[in-house]
Amino acid sequence: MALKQVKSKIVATKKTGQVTKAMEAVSAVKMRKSQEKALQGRPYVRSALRILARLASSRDGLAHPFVVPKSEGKRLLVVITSDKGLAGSVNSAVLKLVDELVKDKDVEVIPVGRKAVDYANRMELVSHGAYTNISDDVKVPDVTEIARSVFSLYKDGRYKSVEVVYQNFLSTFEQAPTRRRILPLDPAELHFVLQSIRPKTGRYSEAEESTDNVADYLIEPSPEIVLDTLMPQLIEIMIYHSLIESKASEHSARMVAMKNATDKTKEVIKSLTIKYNKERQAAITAEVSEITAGAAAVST
Amino acid sequence: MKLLNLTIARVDMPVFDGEAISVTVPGTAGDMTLLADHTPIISPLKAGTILIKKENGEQESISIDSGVLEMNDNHATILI
Repeated sequence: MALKQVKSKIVATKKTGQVTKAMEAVSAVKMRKSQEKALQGRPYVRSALRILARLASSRDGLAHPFVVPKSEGKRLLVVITSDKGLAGSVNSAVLKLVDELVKDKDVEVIPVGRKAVDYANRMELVSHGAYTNISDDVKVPDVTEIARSVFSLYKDGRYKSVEVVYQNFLSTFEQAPTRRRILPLDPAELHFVLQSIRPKTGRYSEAEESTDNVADYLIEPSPEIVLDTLMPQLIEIMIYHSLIESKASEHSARMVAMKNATDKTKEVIKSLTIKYNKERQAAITAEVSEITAGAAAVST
Repeated sequence: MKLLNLTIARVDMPVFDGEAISVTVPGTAGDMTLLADHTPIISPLKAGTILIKKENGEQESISIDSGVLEMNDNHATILI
């Protein structure tokens, strides 16, 4: 490679490194914010799930249309990904999980996030709505529409279950694609989710009281009314929670990916610089030997 | 006097976490006041004000649009 080409390659790599470094810094800030949010939201979600589990396992709860399991019908998947790429494998891991699930034909999706929307279009899946551009600072009203659409679709009776697929945040370096059934509600599954919702380390990781003591609840004004008003609300919260978890995962993964990219550019620059120096030295040596050879020819 | 443990949480942040003598909430069927060792209860809440009476005589009020109350084992949880 010519000297000049190597030089320009070094410059280009340096610039790429600057960009990835900037992206890393930006993601680090966003990551901290959304991690905080995801972790802060957990006690709330845990309480909500606990109430839901207790309601669902009560005598009247078991007869509610949102609790009764169905054997017939299609499955509805709410697929949550990010809008933007360059975040390592967060999105592809989720979509891989979805790949498995859409193998049987009776699956329809509600894509959330541009990657999921693109995926649904590419795979020609039947999708209901497309939700993109949800801000990092997720608010409950952002998911109201999604929850409402989930509800009206489920009420129609064509679906036997509604599941959410998203990236669950475990730690900065570890996220796991997760599938969770939200409808019909299964008290056993809710208890399981309650257990798994605790972060592995750090704040909020202290053990929670057991949830098994199902007390005899007084339900005011009547179980039906309570279930009718609470279920939409609580399911909205579950979707909201999946969304903030997935945001936290996205930013963590992006930060790590960008850090790796920055490290790699440093490595590449180092090897290119060595190459540049070798080329330069070779050119000088060639020149000197030419001159000495010329001088020797003249003197004899 | 026995106190009840009260947790009031919003999705993005905890609002109140501590002990109280009583808490008055706007239930859908009318206002109700909970004291320590209340029967386990679940009830949706409507728009209104939550009034907390603390041990030192102070009162704190929080206005809400909607919410859920759950009480069990002397621990009241209000999600708004």
